[in-house]
Amino acid sequence: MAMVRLEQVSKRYGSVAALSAVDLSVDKGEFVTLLGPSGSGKTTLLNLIAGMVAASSGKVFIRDRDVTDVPPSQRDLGMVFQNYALMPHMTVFENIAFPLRVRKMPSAEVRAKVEDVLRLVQLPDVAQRKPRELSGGQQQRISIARCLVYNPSLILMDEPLGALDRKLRDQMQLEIKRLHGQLGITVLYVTHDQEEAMVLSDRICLMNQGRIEQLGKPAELYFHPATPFVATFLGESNLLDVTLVTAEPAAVVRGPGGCAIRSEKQVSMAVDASLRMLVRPEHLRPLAQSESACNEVSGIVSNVIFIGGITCYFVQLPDGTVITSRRLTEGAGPPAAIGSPIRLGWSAANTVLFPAGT
Amino acid sequence: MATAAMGRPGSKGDLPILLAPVTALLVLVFFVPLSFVLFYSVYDNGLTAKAFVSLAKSTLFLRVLGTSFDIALSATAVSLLLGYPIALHLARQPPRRRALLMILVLLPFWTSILVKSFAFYIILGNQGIINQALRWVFGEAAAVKLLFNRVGVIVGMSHYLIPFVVFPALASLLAQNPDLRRAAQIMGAGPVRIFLRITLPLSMPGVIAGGLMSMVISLGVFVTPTLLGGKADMMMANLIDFYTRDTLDWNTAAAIAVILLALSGILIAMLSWVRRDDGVA
Repeated sequence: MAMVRLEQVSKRYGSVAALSAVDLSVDKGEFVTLLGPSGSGKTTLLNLIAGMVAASSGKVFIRDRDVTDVPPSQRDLGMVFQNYALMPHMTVFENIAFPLRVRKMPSAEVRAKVEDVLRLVQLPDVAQRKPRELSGGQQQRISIARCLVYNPSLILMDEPLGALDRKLRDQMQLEIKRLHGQLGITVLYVTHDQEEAMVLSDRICLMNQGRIEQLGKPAELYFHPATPFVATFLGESNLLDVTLVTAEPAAVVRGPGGCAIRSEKQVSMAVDASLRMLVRPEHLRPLAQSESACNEVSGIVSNVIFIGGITCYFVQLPDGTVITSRRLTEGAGPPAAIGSPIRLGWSAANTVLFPAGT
Repeated sequence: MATAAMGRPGSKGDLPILLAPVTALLVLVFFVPLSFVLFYSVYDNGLTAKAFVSLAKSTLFLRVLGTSFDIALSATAVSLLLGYPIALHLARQPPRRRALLMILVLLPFWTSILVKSFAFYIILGNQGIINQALRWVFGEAAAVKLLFNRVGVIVGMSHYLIPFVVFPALASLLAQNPDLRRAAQIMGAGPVRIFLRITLPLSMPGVIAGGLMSMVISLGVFVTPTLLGGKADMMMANLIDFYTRDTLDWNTAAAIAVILLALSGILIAMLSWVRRDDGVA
């Protein structure tokens, strides 16, 4: 069953469209991330589901109930805020008990539920403390506990880890993933951090300029991006301008320097059409003298950067474009010197083609 | 901080020079007279504490002290009851509109308290607007006495005090993270619960600060009880005036002034204590 479903939802502020005709559906137990740059409409979408902003057109359903005109308090949602939004004048216990008291639960039951959920977020001993006595990570655990305790249909998380430092953020990601797996909760999560989206999500909804650019499993978005925007937003990418040589059964294009590049997919365009081609840096493999690959380009090593486990090679092609190859670092010292010629190869499966101008 | 902001070249050395004029003025018109008051309170042909001793036994003084607190507390309570909703309304306006409305709150300060007190004659007097309206609607017997009694004093003082209550309360309300209310809403709380459990408790530092400020101001009020109050509404400042000008007993007048100063001092100490605690919210 869809816990939340959006039908053609739009939001305009004056003449500016913050969201244009968005359709989205999140199933029970699913973890969906709204990912995108700032201003892409992901927070607007979240606030629209929460009922904090009204849709200009379209409908919002929660558990198949039309809630488009229902106030936030009647939507049976939970929300985790970036700034935690814990009540500073209440103890941790009172904070977590708040939604239960709203629901008029008897106090013995309240106490038991709060204790349970505090154990769940691994903070069993902080019930009598004030939020300000806890660290940022602990406060965010409490704010998650406050959502879990009343078991809402859907939990909205608005960049919940944005205020934490890197190490803590990594820990909290795993913590949220654990809670999601253990409890089967449905989560709609907003972030601008692609790595965070990859770690957490069952599906990623990548947004750009008020539209859904692509919606799918993280691996789908990574390996089969629908547009160059998706390709560049998720992970590193090399984008090249190419022209179509053969459209079917598998497209072949002419790349920089005239080399033929093969893909595994057909393209429904006329020969000589302009295309853009993506190949991920980690798929570009430096070739030895004797080696050959399905697709090859050759150029000059213009820079080598060592980043611990990974080494980046910047290679200048004959037409001037620079492409990047990322390899696992093996042994000490760079195997290719700056200024030396190099051949890079990749398989047809790793060639992704887009129509030009997208 | 102020020194650092004041200017880079030779910043610290400039400070005494810049502060000298205001310091001289304060010493002359504030510190010197105050020293005289302190001196007169314990001097009457030789050092003596007799003024304080006789005040402690004086029914007049104790009754005036009681009346002062009574009036100050009532006026503060009325000001808080009327001022808090204003602060709440202001806090929910967009910034530009709020700035405009804040000017309206401050508008009464554009007129002297003397003029305003006389203006109340026109509104509250026996032939005033309110009583004429009451007579017109309910007949001759409906007129009520609103002037030269406690009602007149409280109305006049609240009118003056409301801005002093509104601004600290507004500051406390604006300091609240709006996500707290949104979070409570999403958790299912209605507006009444959100106000009573979140908005109101978090604004208490501002309410207490405004209340204490209003108490300090009320205790020293002179014009309002004189013009709008009756015989029973004599306050500390009026008693000081009585001893200074009518009986020429400067020793007692000074002693009352010192007691008033001490009471205000205690309230201000409480105020700074509340302010320091304010960071919590």
